[in-house]
Amino acid sequence: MNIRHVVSGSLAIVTALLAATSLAQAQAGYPNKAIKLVVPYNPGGSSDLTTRFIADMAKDILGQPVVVENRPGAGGTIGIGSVASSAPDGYTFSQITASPIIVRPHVANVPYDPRKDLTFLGRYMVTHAPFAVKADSPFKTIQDALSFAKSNPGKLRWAVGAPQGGPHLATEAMLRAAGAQATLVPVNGGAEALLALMGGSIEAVVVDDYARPLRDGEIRLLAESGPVKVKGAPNVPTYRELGYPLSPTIFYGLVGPAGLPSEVVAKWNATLKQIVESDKFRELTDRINATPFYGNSADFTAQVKQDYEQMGKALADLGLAKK
Amino acid sequence: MAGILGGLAHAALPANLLFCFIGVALGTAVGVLPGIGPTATISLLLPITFHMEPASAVIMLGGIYYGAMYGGSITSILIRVPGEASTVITCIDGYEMARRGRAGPALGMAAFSSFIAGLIAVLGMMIVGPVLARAAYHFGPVEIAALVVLGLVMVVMISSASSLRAMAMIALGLLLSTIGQDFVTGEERFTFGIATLTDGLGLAVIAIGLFGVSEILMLAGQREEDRAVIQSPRRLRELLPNREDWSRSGWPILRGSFLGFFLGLLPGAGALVSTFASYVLEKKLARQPERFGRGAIEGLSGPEASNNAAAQSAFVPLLSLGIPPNAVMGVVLGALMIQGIAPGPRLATDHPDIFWGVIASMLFGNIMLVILNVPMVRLFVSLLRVPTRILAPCILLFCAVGAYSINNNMVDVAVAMICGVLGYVLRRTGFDPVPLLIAFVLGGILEKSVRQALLIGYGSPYVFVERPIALSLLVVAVLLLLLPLARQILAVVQPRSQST
Amino acid sequence: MPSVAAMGRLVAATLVLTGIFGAVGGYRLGLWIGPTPGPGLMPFAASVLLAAFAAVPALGRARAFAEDGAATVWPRFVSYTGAAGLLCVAPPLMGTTASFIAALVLVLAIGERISAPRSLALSLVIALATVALFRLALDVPLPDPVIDRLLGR
Repeated sequence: MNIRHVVSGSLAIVTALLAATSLAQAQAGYPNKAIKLVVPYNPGGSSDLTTRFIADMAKDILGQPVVVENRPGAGGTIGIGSVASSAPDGYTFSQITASPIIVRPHVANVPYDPRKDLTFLGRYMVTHAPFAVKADSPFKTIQDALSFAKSNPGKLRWAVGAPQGGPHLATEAMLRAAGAQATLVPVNGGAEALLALMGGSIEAVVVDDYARPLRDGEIRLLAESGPVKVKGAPNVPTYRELGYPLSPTIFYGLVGPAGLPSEVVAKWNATLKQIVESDKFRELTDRINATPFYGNSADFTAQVKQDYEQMGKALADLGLAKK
Repeated sequence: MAGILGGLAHAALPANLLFCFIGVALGTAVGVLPGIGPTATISLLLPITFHMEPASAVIMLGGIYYGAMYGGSITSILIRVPGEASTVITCIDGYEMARRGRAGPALGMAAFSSFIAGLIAVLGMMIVGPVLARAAYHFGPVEIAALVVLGLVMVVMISSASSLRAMAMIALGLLLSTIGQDFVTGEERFTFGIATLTDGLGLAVIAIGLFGVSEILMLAGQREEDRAVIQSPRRLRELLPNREDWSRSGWPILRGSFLGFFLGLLPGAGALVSTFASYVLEKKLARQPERFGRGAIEGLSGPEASNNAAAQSAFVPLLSLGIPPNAVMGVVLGALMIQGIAPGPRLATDHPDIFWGVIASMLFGNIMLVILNVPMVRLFVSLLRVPTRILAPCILLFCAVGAYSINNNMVDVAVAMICGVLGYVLRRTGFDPVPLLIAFVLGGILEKSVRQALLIGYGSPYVFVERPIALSLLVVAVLLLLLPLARQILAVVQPRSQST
Repeated sequence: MPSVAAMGRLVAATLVLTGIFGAVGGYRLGLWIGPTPGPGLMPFAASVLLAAFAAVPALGRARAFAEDGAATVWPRFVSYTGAAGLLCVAPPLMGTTASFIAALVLVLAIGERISAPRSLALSLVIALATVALFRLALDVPLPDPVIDRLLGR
């Protein structure tokens, strides 16, 4: 083939593409092109599953493709940071959970300020992370476990699915408040924590993937770290009910960069509300043991602000906050 | 038994056969592409599975995973760029075989050994899988730590022939594995303020650099007559493994299959570690270990068998304990959860069609893969006819895109390129990057499990001797270390005793 | 240019320095916390071993290697290294497609001495095909302001 033909051919394609673009941009109204939704975590977890589900439904409601992109790393802060620094044009959003917003900024360096650099679009669900022991454990109540840890310092070994997350720090706060001393065995994720629990390497876990082993009678729940009671377990008290200092909501939501146009926020509030209140979404959350919990931008922003400040104060009191 | 037959019947349904085929074909394709892994592909397909029958969904997603094990070896052999982390080790002898004009037999043997291992793994899962799943409970951090110590001892042993330089590379690998946030305290170690490094260096990124990019730089510096990437085989018979290849590969494939099958059951990087273990084991057992690194087919067939066996046995802890042993299985678990199915000890009785159907589908999947892959050998080998001066720049581009697409992160591209220059300099000055890479993988697991084990043992090192499995593994490690020493002592003592 | 043997000593010496740097860093992180190893123990131990093992080749007699005799084709080597550097920094600035084309032209025209129009044509085809495969078919979000606009995203 003649080289000149290749060059002129490529140029022709480029020109055609350019023409097509200007046509596409002529269409008015939001959204008029594909929307990018960043998941700041690895594929397969609750964040990834729910975001892909929301994207699948949002695409039909908004009439534009919603592309999900995983940007994991540094406990979610890399992905959120990439969205915080993007253009506030309404085409780039991030999924978030509580930890990188209300906990991590207090204990580590993160590439954004949750109070200034983000627009909180809406909240879509809350999950639970109960304190659980093996079914044949001698601990019947949370007091049993705490008094054991008090009289045998360091002998209660426990693991947490998400290190440096809300449930982790809330449990640390509870242990300190009770004057108990326990050994935290670090693991990678809830599955590894449960494996160590079942294998008898540790005595307790704080994880969000508790439902299957609970159903099969392998574990017993002693308390719930969040403020909302675990579905189907009305006798399991929350840390808040027990009078312990921290009991943060484990929320899931969507954010965009600061300064999003109000029409974008309004559009997404309506879209998210429609999705969260649908039967299909309820079915999904039932299956992953979460509770749909819609909150519009204003409510969500207020809740995040309150949680952020409470967590900051509590962590400073505990001496866990960064200097 | 009824369950197995039912599973076979379920997997043989036309729809499930079709999904199995889609899965393995897609898997092979993404396996070929560096960076794009099965995890990303499976999550991309998740929304489609919302509308599928649960068993079909898992059959397809599973096919992607073990299909990627077949595809991943292709670029490892042809251009020394690993398509998947678990085919890193294939880069060593697979690529050397290709450089010696034996790309065809290398590709063929990769497919055949994966196939044989696949069959062994399916049989293993059907016979002992559910029983062995419980073994994962007895393999806590203490046992893992002991296992890794044994592995490191073996790495040291195979390297001891090549002097202090190999030891220095092992130490460098261990050091590099500590980059990132500390696992216990969360302190940042050697991250220099770069957020991406908080999670440590990625094995695939480093391997793309140390192997792929460094090879391109080696080629770039060579004179024209020295750098023909590969001579293509001339006759058809040279395209497939010959009788000698087979007789060398028989035992390595069997050993690799068993290693992969058992390590795949354990949580952590089962498939990956099993390939290293198989390579080290074969080199140790070989009559001429110096052939390794110069195109020894045992260095390819063992690890290839082990990664496929491990990819399949990883389904056992997922299906029968509800515990995903790696990230890919985590996504498959997500797909099942969305369908309203929580795998666990009750899955085999509550949903035998899913449990046995998925396992049985692997039988068909492996047959499809070998039918799909063997005829492709000719096509892939003919790719090597592209002149080096055009192929080499393409590979460089491929390395960059591959490194980027692992986490969609530009920092990874920079890390890969820096590792490329590092690999080039090390190779030019007589340092072998292979022990570095093995130590890098084992180092991360070693540090984590030793620290976990000591916390579990309330700070007492006796935890390693109190547990029988850990103790026996450590005893083997010590014996292996003492063996050469004993031999040397014998060599000193023997002549004297003969003279007297 | 120094001989490969001399370069070997230089590399070994760099490894020794890396070991010393790592050992100091590890020590600062803390070797023990209470009864268990601290964050610094593993880096410290690995670094000490590295410095020790690399010290011998760094101080000992220089050794020659198999590849030592082969002359290096410097212009081509430099063009590839330059392209590798370009691929690290350019994509977020000028877009992936443009960076790929630039890197390929650099290697093909300067390194491999292919004529300029041929290099340009080859680079266009290879770069566009790669970007199309990864970005369009596989959904990899390659940074590319130019293509973003073309696709109306």
